[in-house]
Amino acid sequence: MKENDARVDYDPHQLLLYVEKEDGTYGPLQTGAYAAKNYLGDFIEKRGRIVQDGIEKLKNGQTSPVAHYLQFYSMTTADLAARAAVPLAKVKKHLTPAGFAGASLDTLRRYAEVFDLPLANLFALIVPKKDGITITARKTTNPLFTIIEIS
Amino acid sequence: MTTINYAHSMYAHCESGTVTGLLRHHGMQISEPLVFGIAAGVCAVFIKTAKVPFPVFEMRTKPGDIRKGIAKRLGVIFETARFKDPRKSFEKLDAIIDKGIPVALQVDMFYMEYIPDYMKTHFNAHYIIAVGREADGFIVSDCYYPTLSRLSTAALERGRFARGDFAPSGFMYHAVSVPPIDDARLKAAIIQGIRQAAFTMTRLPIPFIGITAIRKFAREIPTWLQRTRSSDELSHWIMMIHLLLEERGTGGGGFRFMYATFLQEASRIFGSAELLTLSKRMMDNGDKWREISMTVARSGKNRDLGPEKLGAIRDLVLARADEEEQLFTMLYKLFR
Repeated sequence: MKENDARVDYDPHQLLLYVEKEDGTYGPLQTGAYAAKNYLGDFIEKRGRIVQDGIEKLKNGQTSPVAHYLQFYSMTTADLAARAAVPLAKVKKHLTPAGFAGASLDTLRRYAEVFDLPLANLFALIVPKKDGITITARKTTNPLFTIIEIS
Repeated sequence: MTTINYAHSMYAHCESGTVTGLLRHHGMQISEPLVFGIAAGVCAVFIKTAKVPFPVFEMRTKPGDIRKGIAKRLGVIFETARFKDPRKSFEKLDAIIDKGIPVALQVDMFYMEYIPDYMKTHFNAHYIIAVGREADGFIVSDCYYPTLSRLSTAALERGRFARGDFAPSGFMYHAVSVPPIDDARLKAAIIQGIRQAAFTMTRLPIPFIGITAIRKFAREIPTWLQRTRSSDELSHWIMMIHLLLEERGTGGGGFRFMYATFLQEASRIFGSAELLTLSKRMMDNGDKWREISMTVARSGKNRDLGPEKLGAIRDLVLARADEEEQLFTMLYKLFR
Protein backbone atom coordinates (compact mmCIF):
# COMPACT_ATOMS: atom_id res chain seq x y z
CA MET A 1 0.00 0.00 0.00
CA LYS A 2 1.25 3.45 -0.86
CA GLU A 3 2.06 5.71 2.06
CA ASN A 4 -0.37 8.41 0.95
CA ASP A 5 -3.24 5.94 0.60
CA ALA A 6 -2.59 4.57 4.07
CA ARG A 7 -2.46 7.90 5.87
CA VAL A 8 -5.64 8.58 7.87
CA ASP A 9 -6.16 11.53 10.16
CA TYR A 10 -7.77 9.97 13.24
CA ASP A 11 -6.03 10.42 16.60
CA PRO A 12 -8.29 8.31 18.88
CA HIS A 13 -7.37 5.05 17.18
CA GLN A 14 -3.80 4.84 15.94
CA LEU A 15 -2.09 1.86 14.38
CA LEU A 16 1.09 0.94 12.59
CA LEU A 17 1.11 -0.31 9.02
CA TYR A 18 3.97 -1.26 6.71
CA VAL A 19 3.62 0.77 3.54
CA GLU A 20 5.42 1.65 0.34
CA LYS A 21 7.28 4.94 0.76
CA GLU A 22 7.78 7.43 -2.05
CA ASP A 23 11.26 6.04 -2.83
CA GLY A 24 9.84 2.52 -3.29
CA THR A 25 11.11 1.14 0.02
CA TYR A 26 8.72 -0.46 2.48
CA GLY A 27 8.62 0.71 6.07
CA PRO A 28 6.43 1.53 9.07
CA LEU A 29 3.80 4.27 9.14
CA GLN A 30 1.90 5.29 12.26
CA THR A 31 -1.52 6.43 11.17
CA GLY A 32 -5.17 6.65 12.16
CA ALA A 33 -7.35 3.59 11.63
CA TYR A 34 -9.47 3.86 8.50
CA ALA A 35 -12.24 1.56 9.72
CA ALA A 36 -12.46 3.17 13.16
CA LYS A 37 -12.70 6.61 11.56
CA ASN A 38 -15.36 5.62 9.05
CA TYR A 39 -17.36 2.85 10.69
CA LEU A 40 -17.04 3.17 14.46
CA GLY A 41 -20.15 5.38 14.82
CA ASP A 42 -22.26 2.86 12.93
CA PHE A 43 -20.79 0.00 14.95
CA ILE A 44 -21.59 1.70 18.27
CA GLU A 45 -25.11 2.58 17.09
CA LYS A 46 -25.79 -1.03 16.04
CA ARG A 47 -24.34 -2.37 19.25
CA GLY A 48 -26.51 0.10 21.18
CA ARG A 49 -29.63 -1.25 19.47
CA ILE A 50 -28.68 -4.85 20.27
CA VAL A 51 -27.99 -3.88 23.90
CA GLN A 52 -31.27 -1.95 24.19
CA ASP A 53 -33.11 -4.96 22.85
CA GLY A 54 -31.37 -7.08 25.49
CA ILE A 55 -32.36 -4.67 28.27
CA GLU A 56 -36.01 -4.82 27.17
CA LYS A 57 -35.88 -8.61 27.34
CA LEU A 58 -34.31 -8.36 30.80
CA LYS A 59 -37.05 -6.00 32.00
CA ASN A 60 -39.76 -8.29 30.66
CA GLY A 61 -38.27 -11.33 32.33
CA GLN A 62 -37.54 -13.03 29.00
CA THR A 63 -33.86 -13.44 29.64
CA SER A 64 -31.32 -13.45 32.47
CA PRO A 65 -28.50 -10.96 33.19
CA VAL A 66 -26.01 -13.69 32.25
CA ALA A 67 -27.57 -13.98 28.79
CA HIS A 68 -27.58 -10.20 28.48
CA TYR A 69 -23.89 -9.73 29.27
CA LEU A 70 -23.00 -12.75 27.17
CA GLN A 71 -24.48 -10.95 24.19
CA PHE A 72 -23.06 -7.59 25.27
CA TYR A 73 -19.52 -8.97 25.19
CA SER A 74 -20.14 -11.20 22.14
CA MET A 75 -19.22 -14.40 23.95
CA THR A 76 -20.45 -17.96 23.59
CA THR A 77 -21.75 -20.14 26.40
CA ALA A 78 -18.79 -22.51 25.89
CA ASP A 79 -16.32 -19.63 26.30
CA LEU A 80 -18.10 -18.33 29.42
CA ALA A 81 -18.16 -21.84 30.89
CA ALA A 82 -14.41 -22.23 30.34
CA ARG A 83 -13.56 -18.77 31.68
CA ALA A 84 -15.79 -18.97 34.74
CA ALA A 85 -14.95 -22.65 35.37
CA VAL A 86 -18.67 -23.46 35.50
CA PRO A 87 -20.08 -26.56 33.72
CA LEU A 88 -21.57 -25.72 30.34
CA ALA A 89 -24.95 -27.24 31.27
CA LYS A 90 -25.13 -24.90 34.26
CA VAL A 91 -24.27 -21.85 32.15
CA LYS A 92 -27.04 -22.74 29.73
CA LYS A 93 -29.45 -23.12 32.65
CA HIS A 94 -28.49 -19.69 33.97
CA LEU A 95 -29.47 -18.01 30.70
CA THR A 96 -33.13 -18.12 31.74
CA PRO A 97 -34.55 -16.02 34.61
CA ALA A 98 -35.70 -19.16 36.44
CA GLY A 99 -32.29 -20.82 36.11
CA PHE A 100 -30.53 -17.61 37.11
CA ALA A 101 -32.64 -17.45 40.30
CA GLY A 102 -31.19 -20.80 41.33
CA ALA A 103 -27.53 -19.88 40.70
CA SER A 104 -25.25 -19.82 43.72
CA LEU A 105 -23.56 -16.63 44.83
CA ASP A 106 -20.17 -18.13 44.08
CA THR A 107 -21.19 -18.95 40.49
CA LEU A 108 -22.53 -15.43 39.97
CA ARG A 109 -19.29 -14.00 41.35
CA ARG A 110 -17.40 -16.04 38.76
CA TYR A 111 -19.58 -14.67 35.96
CA ALA A 112 -19.09 -11.13 37.26
CA GLU A 113 -15.30 -11.66 37.18
CA VAL A 114 -15.43 -12.75 33.53
CA PHE A 115 -17.60 -9.77 32.59
CA ASP A 116 -15.34 -7.55 34.74
CA LEU A 117 -18.36 -6.18 36.60
CA PRO A 118 -19.18 -5.68 40.26
CA LEU A 119 -21.48 -8.49 41.37
CA ALA A 120 -24.27 -5.98 42.03
CA ASN A 121 -24.46 -5.22 38.31
CA LEU A 122 -25.96 -8.65 37.72
CA PHE A 123 -29.01 -7.51 39.69
CA ALA A 124 -29.46 -3.87 38.75
CA LEU A 125 -28.99 -1.36 35.97
CA ILE A 126 -28.47 2.16 37.30
CA VAL A 127 -29.31 4.85 34.76
CA PRO A 128 -28.83 8.63 35.28
CA LYS A 129 -31.97 10.71 34.68
CA LYS A 130 -30.04 13.90 33.97
CA ASP A 131 -27.21 14.72 31.62
CA GLY A 132 -23.81 15.33 33.16
CA ILE A 133 -24.21 12.75 35.90
CA THR A 134 -21.75 9.92 36.00
CA ILE A 135 -22.54 6.76 37.92
CA THR A 136 -19.75 4.30 38.55
CA ALA A 137 -20.17 0.93 40.21
CA ARG A 138 -16.81 0.30 41.83
CA LYS A 139 -15.61 -3.12 42.87
CA THR A 140 -14.04 -3.47 46.29
CA THR A 141 -11.64 -6.06 47.67
CA ASN A 142 -14.72 -7.84 48.99
CA PRO A 143 -16.16 -9.51 45.86
CA LEU A 144 -19.68 -9.40 47.32
CA PHE A 145 -19.69 -5.67 48.07
CA THR A 146 -19.97 -2.83 45.53
CA ILE A 147 -19.75 0.94 45.98
CA ILE A 148 -21.92 3.07 43.71
CA GLU A 149 -20.38 6.49 43.11
CA ILE A 150 -22.43 9.37 41.70
CA SER A 151 -20.63 12.46 40.48
CA MET B 1 8.99 2.02 42.53
CA THR B 2 11.08 1.12 39.50
CA THR B 3 10.99 2.49 35.98
CA ILE B 4 13.08 0.91 33.24
CA ASN B 5 14.48 3.14 30.53
CA TYR B 6 12.64 1.30 27.76
CA ALA B 7 12.10 2.96 24.37
CA HIS B 8 8.39 2.43 23.78
CA SER B 9 7.39 2.11 20.16
CA MET B 10 4.28 1.14 18.21
CA TYR B 11 4.42 -2.07 16.21
CA ALA B 12 1.99 -3.70 13.79
CA HIS B 13 1.41 -6.82 15.83
CA CYS B 14 1.61 -7.54 19.55
CA GLU B 15 3.75 -10.68 19.52
CA SER B 16 6.29 -9.71 16.86
CA GLY B 17 6.30 -6.21 18.38
CA THR B 18 6.97 -7.49 21.88
CA VAL B 19 9.83 -9.73 20.74
CA THR B 20 11.29 -6.89 18.61
CA GLY B 21 11.01 -4.46 21.52
CA LEU B 22 12.88 -6.80 23.87
CA LEU B 23 15.62 -7.54 21.32
CA ARG B 24 16.13 -3.86 20.58
CA HIS B 25 16.26 -3.07 24.28
CA HIS B 26 19.12 -5.56 24.56
CA GLY B 27 21.00 -3.95 21.70
CA MET B 28 20.02 -6.05 18.68
CA GLN B 29 19.10 -3.65 15.87
CA ILE B 30 16.42 -5.67 14.14
CA SER B 31 13.14 -4.64 12.54
CA GLU B 32 9.72 -6.10 13.30
CA PRO B 33 9.32 -7.46 9.72
CA LEU B 34 12.64 -9.34 10.05
CA VAL B 35 11.52 -10.84 13.35
CA PHE B 36 8.18 -11.78 11.80
CA GLY B 37 9.75 -13.30 8.69
CA ILE B 38 12.58 -15.18 10.39
CA ALA B 39 10.07 -16.71 12.80
CA ALA B 40 7.82 -17.68 9.85
CA GLY B 41 4.94 -15.75 11.39
CA VAL B 42 2.92 -15.47 8.20
CA CYS B 43 0.16 -18.05 7.90
CA ALA B 44 -3.56 -18.63 7.31
CA VAL B 45 -5.68 -20.45 9.85
CA PHE B 46 -9.40 -21.07 9.83
CA ILE B 47 -10.99 -21.72 13.24
CA LYS B 48 -14.57 -22.83 13.74
CA THR B 49 -15.38 -24.17 17.20
CA ALA B 50 -18.16 -23.87 19.77
CA LYS B 51 -16.02 -21.45 21.76
CA VAL B 52 -15.95 -18.80 19.04
CA PRO B 53 -19.31 -17.22 18.25
CA PHE B 54 -18.35 -16.57 14.65
CA PRO B 55 -15.81 -18.44 12.46
CA VAL B 56 -12.37 -16.86 12.81
CA PHE B 57 -9.83 -16.49 10.06
CA GLU B 58 -6.31 -15.75 11.32
CA MET B 59 -3.44 -14.73 9.10
CA ARG B 60 -0.60 -15.59 11.46
CA THR B 61 0.90 -18.57 13.25
CA LYS B 62 -0.23 -19.56 16.72
CA PRO B 63 0.70 -17.40 19.74
CA GLY B 64 4.19 -18.11 21.06
CA ASP B 65 5.62 -19.32 17.74
CA ILE B 66 7.35 -16.03 16.94
CA ARG B 67 9.31 -16.03 20.21
CA LYS B 68 10.23 -19.69 19.74
CA GLY B 69 11.27 -19.16 16.11
CA ILE B 70 13.54 -16.26 17.03
CA ALA B 71 15.09 -18.18 19.92
CA LYS B 72 15.80 -21.13 17.64
CA ARG B 73 17.13 -19.24 14.62
CA LEU B 74 18.98 -16.32 16.18
CA GLY B 75 20.24 -18.08 19.31
CA VAL B 76 18.45 -15.71 21.67
CA ILE B 77 17.76 -17.19 25.08
CA PHE B 78 14.47 -16.23 26.67
CA GLU B 79 13.67 -17.27 30.21
CA THR B 80 10.03 -18.26 30.36
CA ALA B 81 7.77 -19.05 33.31
CA ARG B 82 4.18 -20.10 33.99
CA PHE B 83 2.50 -19.99 37.37
CA LYS B 84 -0.43 -21.40 39.26
CA ASP B 85 -0.07 -18.98 42.14
CA PRO B 86 -0.56 -15.29 41.21
CA ARG B 87 1.36 -14.16 44.32
CA LYS B 88 4.49 -16.06 43.25
CA SER B 89 4.18 -14.76 39.70
CA PHE B 90 4.10 -11.16 40.89
CA GLU B 91 7.03 -11.72 43.24
CA LYS B 92 9.03 -13.01 40.28
CA LEU B 93 7.84 -10.17 38.03
CA ASP B 94 8.76 -7.53 40.63
CA ALA B 95 12.21 -9.07 41.10
CA ILE B 96 13.02 -8.99 37.37
CA ILE B 97 11.73 -5.45 36.90
CA ASP B 98 13.79 -4.34 39.91
CA LYS B 99 16.88 -5.64 38.08
CA GLY B 100 16.01 -3.25 35.23
CA ILE B 101 14.90 -5.96 32.80
CA PRO B 102 11.68 -5.48 30.79
CA VAL B 103 9.36 -8.49 30.97
CA ALA B 104 6.88 -9.65 28.33
CA LEU B 105 3.53 -10.80 29.70
CA GLN B 106 0.74 -12.79 28.11
CA VAL B 107 -2.63 -11.32 29.07
CA ASP B 108 -6.33 -11.37 28.30
CA MET B 109 -6.79 -8.07 26.45
CA PHE B 110 -10.26 -7.63 28.03
CA TYR B 111 -8.85 -6.53 31.39
CA MET B 112 -6.41 -3.93 30.11
CA GLU B 113 -7.80 -0.76 31.66
CA TYR B 114 -6.34 1.57 29.04
CA ILE B 115 -8.23 0.14 26.06
CA PRO B 116 -11.45 1.87 24.96
CA ASP B 117 -14.75 0.19 25.89
CA TYR B 118 -15.63 -0.72 22.31
CA MET B 119 -12.40 -2.73 22.04
CA LYS B 120 -13.18 -4.82 25.11
CA THR B 121 -13.17 -8.44 24.03
CA HIS B 122 -11.74 -11.56 25.60
CA PHE B 123 -8.53 -12.56 23.85
CA ASN B 124 -6.06 -14.51 25.95
CA ALA B 125 -3.02 -14.26 23.71
CA HIS B 126 -2.24 -10.57 23.84
CA TYR B 127 1.33 -9.56 24.72
CA ILE B 128 2.53 -6.49 26.58
CA ILE B 129 5.83 -5.56 28.22
CA ALA B 130 6.06 -4.53 31.88
CA VAL B 131 8.62 -1.73 32.07
CA GLY B 132 8.06 -0.39 35.56
CA ARG B 133 6.18 -0.81 38.78
CA GLU B 134 4.53 1.60 41.15
CA ALA B 135 2.86 1.33 44.55
CA ASP B 136 -0.46 0.09 43.17
CA GLY B 137 0.27 -1.02 39.64
CA PHE B 138 2.57 -1.35 36.66
CA ILE B 139 3.78 0.70 33.73
CA VAL B 140 3.35 -1.30 30.58
CA SER B 141 4.30 -0.95 26.94
CA ASP B 142 1.46 -2.13 24.71
CA CYS B 143 2.69 -1.73 21.15
CA TYR B 144 -0.85 -1.04 19.85
CA TYR B 145 -0.86 2.29 21.68
CA PRO B 146 1.28 5.36 21.04
CA THR B 147 2.34 5.86 24.68
CA LEU B 148 3.17 3.82 27.77
CA SER B 149 0.12 2.85 29.85
CA ARG B 150 -0.63 2.30 33.52
CA LEU B 151 -2.34 -0.79 34.79
CA SER B 152 -3.53 -1.62 38.32
CA THR B 153 -2.16 -4.77 39.90
CA ALA B 154 -5.70 -6.17 40.20
CA ALA B 155 -6.39 -5.71 36.47
CA LEU B 156 -3.04 -7.21 35.52
CA GLU B 157 -3.69 -10.20 37.76
CA ARG B 158 -7.09 -10.78 36.15
CA GLY B 159 -5.52 -10.47 32.70
CA ARG B 160 -2.63 -12.82 33.49
CA PHE B 161 -4.78 -15.48 35.12
CA ALA B 162 -7.85 -15.49 32.87
CA ARG B 163 -9.19 -18.94 32.02
CA GLY B 164 -10.31 -20.28 28.62
CA ASP B 165 -8.48 -21.08 25.37
CA PHE B 166 -4.81 -20.03 25.39
CA ALA B 167 -5.13 -19.29 29.13
CA PRO B 168 -2.04 -17.23 29.99
CA SER B 169 -1.41 -18.96 33.38
CA GLY B 170 0.77 -16.01 34.35
CA PHE B 171 3.07 -16.68 31.38
CA MET B 172 6.00 -14.27 31.19
CA TYR B 173 9.38 -14.15 29.53
CA HIS B 174 12.43 -11.97 29.26
CA ALA B 175 15.66 -12.09 27.30
CA VAL B 176 18.68 -13.38 29.19
CA SER B 177 21.10 -13.66 26.26
CA VAL B 178 20.95 -11.74 23.00
CA PRO B 179 24.02 -12.63 20.94
CA PRO B 180 25.26 -10.39 18.13
CA ILE B 181 24.15 -11.68 14.74
CA ASP B 182 26.63 -11.94 11.92
CA ASP B 183 25.76 -11.92 8.25
CA ALA B 184 25.95 -15.69 7.82
CA ARG B 185 23.63 -16.41 10.75
CA LEU B 186 21.14 -13.77 9.59
CA LYS B 187 21.06 -15.21 6.07
CA ALA B 188 20.61 -18.76 7.37
CA ALA B 189 17.79 -17.59 9.66
CA ILE B 190 16.01 -15.82 6.80
CA ILE B 191 16.22 -18.90 4.59
CA GLN B 192 14.88 -21.14 7.34
CA GLY B 193 12.05 -18.70 8.04
CA ILE B 194 11.00 -18.47 4.40
CA ARG B 195 11.25 -22.20 3.92
CA GLN B 196 9.07 -22.91 6.95
CA ALA B 197 6.43 -20.33 6.01
CA ALA B 198 6.26 -21.57 2.42
CA PHE B 199 5.99 -25.18 3.58
CA THR B 200 3.22 -24.35 6.07
CA MET B 201 1.27 -22.38 3.49
CA THR B 202 1.51 -24.82 0.60
CA ARG B 203 2.43 -28.28 1.80
CA LEU B 204 1.29 -28.84 5.37
CA PRO B 205 -1.40 -31.55 5.14
CA ILE B 206 -3.75 -29.96 7.70
CA PRO B 207 -7.01 -28.68 6.18
CA PHE B 208 -7.45 -25.63 8.43
CA ILE B 209 -3.92 -24.26 7.92
CA GLY B 210 -2.38 -22.65 4.84
CA ILE B 211 -3.87 -22.21 1.37
CA THR B 212 -6.52 -24.87 2.03
CA ALA B 213 -7.65 -22.83 5.05
CA ILE B 214 -8.12 -19.73 2.87
CA ARG B 215 -10.27 -21.77 0.48
CA LYS B 216 -12.23 -23.32 3.35
CA PHE B 217 -12.84 -19.86 4.79
CA ALA B 218 -13.94 -18.56 1.38
CA ARG B 219 -16.48 -21.34 0.94
CA GLU B 220 -17.95 -20.57 4.36
CA ILE B 221 -18.67 -16.94 3.56
CA PRO B 222 -22.04 -17.53 1.83
CA THR B 223 -23.25 -19.30 5.01
CA TRP B 224 -22.70 -16.25 7.22
CA LEU B 225 -26.34 -15.19 6.98
CA GLN B 226 -27.50 -18.53 8.37
CA ARG B 227 -25.24 -18.07 11.40
CA THR B 228 -26.99 -14.94 12.61
CA ARG B 229 -30.55 -13.93 13.41
CA SER B 230 -30.63 -10.80 11.26
CA SER B 231 -28.57 -8.75 8.84
CA ASP B 232 -28.18 -6.22 11.70
CA GLU B 233 -26.51 -8.89 13.83
CA LEU B 234 -24.36 -10.11 10.93
CA SER B 235 -23.37 -6.55 10.22
CA HIS B 236 -22.48 -6.09 13.91
CA TRP B 237 -20.30 -9.21 13.84
CA ILE B 238 -18.51 -8.18 10.71
CA MET B 239 -17.76 -4.75 12.08
CA MET B 240 -16.58 -6.14 15.37
CA ILE B 241 -14.17 -8.50 13.68
CA HIS B 242 -13.04 -5.69 11.44
CA LEU B 243 -12.45 -3.16 14.21
CA LEU B 244 -10.98 -5.52 16.77
CA LEU B 245 -8.83 -7.72 14.61
CA GLU B 246 -8.16 -6.27 11.21
CA GLU B 247 -7.50 -2.70 12.17
CA ARG B 248 -4.96 -3.89 14.69
CA GLY B 249 -2.74 -5.03 11.87
CA THR B 250 -3.46 -8.67 12.55
CA GLY B 251 -5.66 -9.21 9.56
CA GLY B 252 -6.78 -7.62 6.34
CA GLY B 253 -3.58 -6.79 4.59
CA GLY B 254 -1.55 -6.02 7.74
CA PHE B 255 0.43 -9.23 7.95
CA ARG B 256 0.96 -9.39 4.22
CA PHE B 257 2.31 -5.81 4.22
CA MET B 258 4.70 -6.80 6.98
CA TYR B 259 5.77 -9.94 5.12
CA ALA B 260 6.33 -7.92 1.93
CA THR B 261 8.57 -5.59 3.94
CA PHE B 262 10.45 -8.63 5.26
CA LEU B 263 10.95 -9.94 1.72
CA GLN B 264 12.23 -6.56 0.58
CA GLU B 265 14.73 -6.48 3.47
CA ALA B 266 15.73 -10.05 2.61
CA SER B 267 16.21 -9.08 -1.05
CA ARG B 268 18.67 -6.36 0.03
CA ILE B 269 20.55 -8.74 2.32
CA PHE B 270 20.85 -11.41 -0.40
CA GLY B 271 21.04 -8.99 -3.34
CA SER B 272 18.22 -11.02 -4.88
CA ALA B 273 16.11 -9.61 -7.71
CA GLU B 274 13.71 -12.56 -7.39
CA LEU B 275 12.98 -11.76 -3.75
CA LEU B 276 12.44 -8.12 -4.67
CA THR B 277 9.88 -9.10 -7.30
CA LEU B 278 8.13 -11.39 -4.83
CA SER B 279 8.08 -8.63 -2.22
CA LYS B 280 6.26 -6.38 -4.71
CA ARG B 281 3.75 -9.10 -5.47
CA MET B 282 3.25 -9.70 -1.75
CA MET B 283 2.59 -5.98 -1.23
CA ASP B 284 0.00 -6.04 -4.06
CA ASN B 285 -1.49 -9.14 -2.48
CA GLY B 286 -1.77 -7.24 0.82
CA ASP B 287 -3.57 -4.42 -1.01
CA LYS B 288 -6.08 -6.93 -2.37
CA TRP B 289 -6.66 -8.39 1.12
CA ARG B 290 -7.24 -4.89 2.41
CA GLU B 291 -9.72 -4.21 -0.40
CA ILE B 292 -11.65 -7.34 0.61
CA SER B 293 -11.60 -6.18 4.20
CA MET B 294 -12.91 -2.74 3.25
CA THR B 295 -15.55 -4.21 0.93
CA VAL B 296 -16.83 -6.36 3.79
CA ALA B 297 -16.85 -3.39 6.17
CA ARG B 298 -18.71 -1.22 3.66
CA SER B 299 -21.23 -3.96 2.97
CA GLY B 300 -21.71 -4.40 6.71
CA LYS B 301 -22.40 -0.72 7.21
CA ASN B 302 -24.83 -0.59 4.30
CA ARG B 303 -26.51 -3.92 5.31
CA ASP B 304 -25.65 -5.08 1.80
CA LEU B 305 -25.04 -8.68 2.81
CA GLY B 306 -27.29 -10.67 0.53
CA PRO B 307 -26.27 -13.96 -1.13
CA GLU B 308 -24.94 -12.17 -4.21
CA LYS B 309 -22.62 -9.91 -2.22
CA LEU B 310 -21.41 -12.77 -0.03
CA GLY B 311 -20.78 -14.84 -3.15
CA ALA B 312 -18.73 -12.00 -4.64
CA ILE B 313 -16.67 -11.73 -1.44
CA ARG B 314 -16.08 -15.51 -1.55
CA ASP B 315 -14.71 -15.17 -5.09
CA LEU B 316 -12.37 -12.38 -4.05
CA VAL B 317 -10.98 -14.52 -1.22
CA LEU B 318 -10.57 -17.52 -3.54
CA ALA B 319 -8.54 -15.30 -5.88
CA ARG B 320 -6.23 -14.49 -2.93
CA ALA B 321 -5.81 -18.20 -2.25
CA ASP B 322 -4.70 -18.71 -5.86
CA GLU B 323 -2.24 -15.83 -5.71
CA GLU B 324 -0.79 -16.89 -2.35
CA GLU B 325 -0.42 -20.45 -3.58
CA GLN B 326 1.72 -19.14 -6.44
CA LEU B 327 3.72 -16.79 -4.24
CA PHE B 328 4.56 -19.29 -1.53
CA THR B 329 5.29 -22.03 -4.07
CA MET B 330 7.84 -19.71 -5.72
CA LEU B 331 9.35 -18.89 -2.32
CA TYR B 332 9.55 -22.60 -1.51
CA LYS B 333 11.34 -23.35 -4.77
CA LEU B 334 13.71 -20.41 -4.30
CA PHE B 335 15.16 -21.83 -1.09
CA ARG B 336 14.52 -25.54 -1.54
